[in-house]
Amino acid sequence: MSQEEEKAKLFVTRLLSNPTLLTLNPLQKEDQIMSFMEINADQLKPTLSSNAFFPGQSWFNIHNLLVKTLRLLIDESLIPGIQRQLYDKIDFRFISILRQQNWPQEKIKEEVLNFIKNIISSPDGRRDFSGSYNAISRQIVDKYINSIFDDHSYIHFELTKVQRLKMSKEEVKDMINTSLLLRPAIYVFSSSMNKDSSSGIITQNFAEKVEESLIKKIPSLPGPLVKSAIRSNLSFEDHKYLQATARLTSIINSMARSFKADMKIDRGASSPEKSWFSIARKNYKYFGWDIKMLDELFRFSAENNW
Amino acid sequence: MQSKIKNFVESIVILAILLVLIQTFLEDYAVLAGWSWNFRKILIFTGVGFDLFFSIEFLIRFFSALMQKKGSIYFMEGKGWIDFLASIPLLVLNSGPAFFAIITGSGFFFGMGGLLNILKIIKAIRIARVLRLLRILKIFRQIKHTGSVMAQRHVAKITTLSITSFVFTLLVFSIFSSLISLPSAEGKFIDNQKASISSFLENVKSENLSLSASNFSDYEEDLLIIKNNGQTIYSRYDNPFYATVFGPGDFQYFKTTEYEFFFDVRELAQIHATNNILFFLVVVMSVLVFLIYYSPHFALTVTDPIHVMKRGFLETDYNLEVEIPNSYKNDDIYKLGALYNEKYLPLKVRETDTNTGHTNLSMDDFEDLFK
Repeated sequence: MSQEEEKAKLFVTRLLSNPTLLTLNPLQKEDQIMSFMEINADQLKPTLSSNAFFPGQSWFNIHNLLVKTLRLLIDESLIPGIQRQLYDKIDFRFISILRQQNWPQEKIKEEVLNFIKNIISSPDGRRDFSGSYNAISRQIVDKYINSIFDDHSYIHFELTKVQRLKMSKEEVKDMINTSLLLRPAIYVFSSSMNKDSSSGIITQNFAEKVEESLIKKIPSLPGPLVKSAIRSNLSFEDHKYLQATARLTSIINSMARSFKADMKIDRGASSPEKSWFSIARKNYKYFGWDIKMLDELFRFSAENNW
Repeated sequence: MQSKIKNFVESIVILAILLVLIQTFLEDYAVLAGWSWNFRKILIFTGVGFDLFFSIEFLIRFFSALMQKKGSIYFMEGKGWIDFLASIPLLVLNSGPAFFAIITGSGFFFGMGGLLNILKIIKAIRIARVLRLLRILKIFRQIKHTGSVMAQRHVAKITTLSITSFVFTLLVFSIFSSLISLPSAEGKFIDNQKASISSFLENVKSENLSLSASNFSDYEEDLLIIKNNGQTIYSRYDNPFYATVFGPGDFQYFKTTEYEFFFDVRELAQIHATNNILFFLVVVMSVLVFLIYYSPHFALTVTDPIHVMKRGFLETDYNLEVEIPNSYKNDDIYKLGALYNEKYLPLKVRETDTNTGHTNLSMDDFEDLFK
């Protein structure tokens, strides 16, 4: 490691050790520090360009070095975290149900892990993956699927009767969790894709191409799972036949992206998830979400004070 | 160091406030319970001590404010007028004269029938002591339910207004009723005694003096002593009993050309003490209700929604909605909260979702970033 890399590592480590970042997931920490460096560039530039740090280097180079170092440091905790999620929290037996044949789980997990490493090599992929990572870490899917299966209302009907998932509750959870992990695949296949940058929605043509490419890359993945993951980036407003799992994946990924474990809920404020669903109900057209699903999830969050 | 001394002094003042409340209650309770004069005398002395302490405290605060040319600010906005009313008038009109009467060994201020109206005014002014209760707000400020200055100010305002109104109504009414001689237990008592004395003076012309005195004592249960030209011709109790049980305010004194009469007025004092305790409890309850019930209610229905909205405006990733209770949904603040929930937050979420570059980290969060 060069002297400059050493200095960059020290500097980034100092940033990462800030107590305000303690409860964030690795990708949220990264996001915060990236924004911090952008916003405070004018203050950081003179000192970091001085002899004590990176003499003779342009801010562009310094910034790039810091970002690269930051990602390396984040990956040190992120990748083991993803491994834990894949190997400990998700059971891939549901794939056998979808494919109607047995498939070695370990091999799929390995392929998926390698693919996720690809996803998180792109900045947009990392940003989107943050929601998926949070959702699985915090077991958000689990609690909502439990409520959905207890309630037997709209979402349950969509999952079991419309999408015709012949799976147990636990298998549905695993399918949605895997769908969450693969959702940012769109960023692997194109960095300048047909995506509405404001709402995160892509076109159907692009989605189909990504699905094809993904199945080619990981042939063990069943089509319905790939569709559920990739089409979670489509708008339900324009695609009324979107799979229920895709709609849920989209909603949960967005919700979990803003999830903060240590958030102080002030007296007089609604709970975080209830607030999120309530706002999402007003923005459902903009983000292409299913309003009926949002209504039901809002009800669960309100009833359980989530 | 200076702030440590200041905090220490403030702690002593707070302790004194708590103690003076207990002392105020005990002073009246002692009369009601018939505690011995020696014990009640100690309470009167402590009362003088407290009034002196608070008078000095007021003068220090006031002159300190004057030195900084903030005299009027301290007096009006800093509630210096409460400090004033709860100290100097009490010392001058109530505890000071009582103390003077005790140490000079005279019952001048207590037993003089002619000064009864003035004494009633003094007793009424004593009620101003309850103003000291308002200083409890200073203690409660440290265990506030919310960090909102507005909530503290509003609760302090409403408490001050209601307690001051109550106390001043009592005060003015007491003074006014004394001046226009409204019917009272005290007046009736004096009239009865005067009539009894007249009757005795009539009887004594035709009867033996000691027989008349004996008959008078049988008829008038409150009669303690009759003196004829300085000689005691009747006494209900012996002198040690008077010394132990009776204080200067416990008897009423009448004088004619030949005779002096002492009447037991402890029952009357107990009626006053009962009233005083009632007023004291009303004030304590009012303050407690304002602080324990109204203060959280104000915080919940006014400052909390404001705080939630303020955080939402200031912090990019704080998107919690204002919780709108059904029973208060028509309040202006909750109508505003509904607009915040319905209009502002959805727009904010769209805006922050599209723009990266939001963080709550600032340069101030790092002490030695470049070390």
